[in-house]
Amino acid sequence: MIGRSVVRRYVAAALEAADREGVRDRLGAQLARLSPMMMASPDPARLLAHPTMPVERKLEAVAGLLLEPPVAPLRDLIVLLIDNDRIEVLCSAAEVYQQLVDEANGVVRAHVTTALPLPDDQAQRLANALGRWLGAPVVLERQVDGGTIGGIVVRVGDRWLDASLRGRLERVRTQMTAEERWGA
Amino acid sequence: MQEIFHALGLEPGVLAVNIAGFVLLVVLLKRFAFGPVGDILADRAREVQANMADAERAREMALADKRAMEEQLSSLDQRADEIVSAAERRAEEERARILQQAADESRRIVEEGERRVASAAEEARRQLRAETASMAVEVSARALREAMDEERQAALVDAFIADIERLAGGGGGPR
Repeated sequence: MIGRSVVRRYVAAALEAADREGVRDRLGAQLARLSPMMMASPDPARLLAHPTMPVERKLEAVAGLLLEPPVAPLRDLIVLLIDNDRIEVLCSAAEVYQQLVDEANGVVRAHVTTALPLPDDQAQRLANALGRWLGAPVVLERQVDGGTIGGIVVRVGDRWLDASLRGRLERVRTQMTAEERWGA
Repeated sequence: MQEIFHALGLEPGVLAVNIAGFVLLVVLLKRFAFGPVGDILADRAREVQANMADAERAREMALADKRAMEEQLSSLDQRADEIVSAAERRAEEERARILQQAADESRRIVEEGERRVASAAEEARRQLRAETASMAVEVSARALREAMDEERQAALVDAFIADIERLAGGGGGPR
């Protein structure tokens, strides 16, 4: 397991290169496609870490996964990770990249999960409220999950705000299971 | 005298010769036979006396040995009594130790059994609590899911936004 600070160092270098070449969004999009594939299966990582396969063949394989050639910063990042035996960095590269881009843009990204789609006006009010609380503009990533039953779950970085009905019920379950509630 | 010898059919000359022969025989016997036989008999008597003395000494030694043996036997009896007493004492101590050990083991088994029963009962109570809580939560979740609509969802989100705004208004950022 590679630490987040290591991932951040590699991805930050890639972001700088992407800004120099004006491909920030394209690099973000390609990482957003590649990282989930790397997490879903160990095969791409095994292929990229293969000791005898030429680098050009590996980059062709990446292009096959992306359905387009990787931009130069991503190509350089992959070559560097292969050389340093750190190819697992790609698994969380997309999330870290987005975080770095948000930091560069001075915004905070909040991942919002609700049981029913969050209407735009309510999303805007939520973003404003979170922005005032966090002291920075907030960009919402909305997601629908019926498992929450109702209410809302917000994640900002590694901080969770669980105001869902599922969360409340789980807290009730925890209280009911606790011995002192039953006089044991 | 002549007449008497004649009446007895003895010849005085023959008689004299016979007497002389007899005397000579006695002298010869005494000289060559009775002397060594007497020595032999005397030696034999001395030997018998020596043997009797040896027998007497042997008898005395045997008596002494017997007395010593009897004393030894008496001592051995005493020692045997001591050994038996010690063995009985040790057996009694061992019996008491075994009984105590059995009592301790019995108590330990009973206590272990009580602990296990208590543990099993506690585990059963814990499982019952967990299952009861799960059932209550799932029943509640089903009821809430059926009752949930956009209006209620919007109200819940509005309440959350209000909480965030209160936090933001309080001047305290997230920790």
